Amino acid sequence: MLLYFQQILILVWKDILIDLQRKDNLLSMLLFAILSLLVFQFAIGKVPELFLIALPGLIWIVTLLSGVLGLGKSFVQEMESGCIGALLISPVDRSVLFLGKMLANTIFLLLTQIMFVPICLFIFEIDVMSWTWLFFVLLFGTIGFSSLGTLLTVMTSTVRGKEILLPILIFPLMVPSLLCVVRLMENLFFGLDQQEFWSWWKLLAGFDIVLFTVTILGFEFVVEE
Amino acid sequence: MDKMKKIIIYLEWGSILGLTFCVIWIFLILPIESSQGFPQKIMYLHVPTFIATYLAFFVVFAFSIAYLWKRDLMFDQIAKVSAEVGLIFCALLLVTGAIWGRPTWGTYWVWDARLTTTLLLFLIFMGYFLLRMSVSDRDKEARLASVLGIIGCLDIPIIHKSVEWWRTLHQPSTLFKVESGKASPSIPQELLNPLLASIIVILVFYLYLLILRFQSEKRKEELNQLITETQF
Repeated sequence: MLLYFQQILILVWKDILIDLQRKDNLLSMLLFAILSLLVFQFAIGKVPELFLIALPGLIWIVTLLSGVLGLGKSFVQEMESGCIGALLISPVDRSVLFLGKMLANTIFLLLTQIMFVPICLFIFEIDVMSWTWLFFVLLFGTIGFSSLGTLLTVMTSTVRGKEILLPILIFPLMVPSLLCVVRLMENLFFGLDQQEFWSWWKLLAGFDIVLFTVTILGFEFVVEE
Repeated sequence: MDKMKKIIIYLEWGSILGLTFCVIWIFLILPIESSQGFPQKIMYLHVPTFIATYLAFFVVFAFSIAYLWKRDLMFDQIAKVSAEVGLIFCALLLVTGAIWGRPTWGTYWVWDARLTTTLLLFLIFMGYFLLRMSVSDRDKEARLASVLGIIGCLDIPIIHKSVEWWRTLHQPSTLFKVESGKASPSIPQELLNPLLASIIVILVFYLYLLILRFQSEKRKEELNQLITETQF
């Protein structure tokens, strides 16, 4: 069991090391997020109140878009360097490969958000009810996204037209998680409704559990060559 | 093989006669419902397509699991053709819903849980076919599509739940409530009978399309095999 976790940690560390060397993954995701918010501001920012109300949703749209970019990018690296082939013939359980990649993706996406969300909050002068809860919302939202995203990236990595296929597959499947995190963030930004808050939490947790289980089971079938 | 042909012919005539019978019953014999008027008649197409759509995608779910378990390409073919037929029924469901909605609620589209879920189901399975089209290897196509089919079908109840909460918690949907004629017990027996009849007919029609498509898909594969054999 200990070995299992060590193997996962090594895989995660590998991705972090690569990114520390290149420094482009995290930076490009963050830059993309800020730029898209800017574009949104130009497009619909004429009425500031409207933009403020839409902010939680916009934050997550931006996250989804930059997440899809990041996912595709992280996997292209693996394919180009031939790393994926080496990983597949290595004597580890397939779930280790999935968890390693998924955790690395979660960490990158979460780091981007941890930098990006406070910037938004600062610009729009929003007082968050609870920073801890905000962190958990980001965490759980990201876990769902990256488990689905990792599976679908691997799935589409060897097919034609993968760049467009990934968002087409991932967006409709992410709708429940998107609804939950946006409502939760609205609650945290603009006022807490206890009952509503908890029912969204339950749904988000349920979604994450179902998705995580299915993707980890599905991964074995997807990578067998 | 001959037995299969017989079944197809039976189903074909069953659906032709059944559909004609239902049309005559619904349009010529049945009185016009008092509260909704003539547009209510689209219910006899709408509700059966709803049932057929969800049945079709449940078949996709079941046969995707069966494929991953047994690795028999026949299971994947059934899942594929069921998804195809399901997608057609789903499109029909969305269109008839919009046509019904306009005179009844005054709008073609509303972000209600049932409508949104159906739209997303449609979009997920459009992606499913896009994925199938982009893979050239048959076994790989079956594997990837099965995994996506399972995830897609499992996601549907969660999507439904989340959209339902999104509507009810956020803005109480007192404006209107979607009623599937089937569930409400207030529907008079006179209207219920043709509905049940059309449900049965549409299900026969679904089965007919499913088997027909399965058969043609099988022939296509046989042909492909013959072509590759003669090339060597």
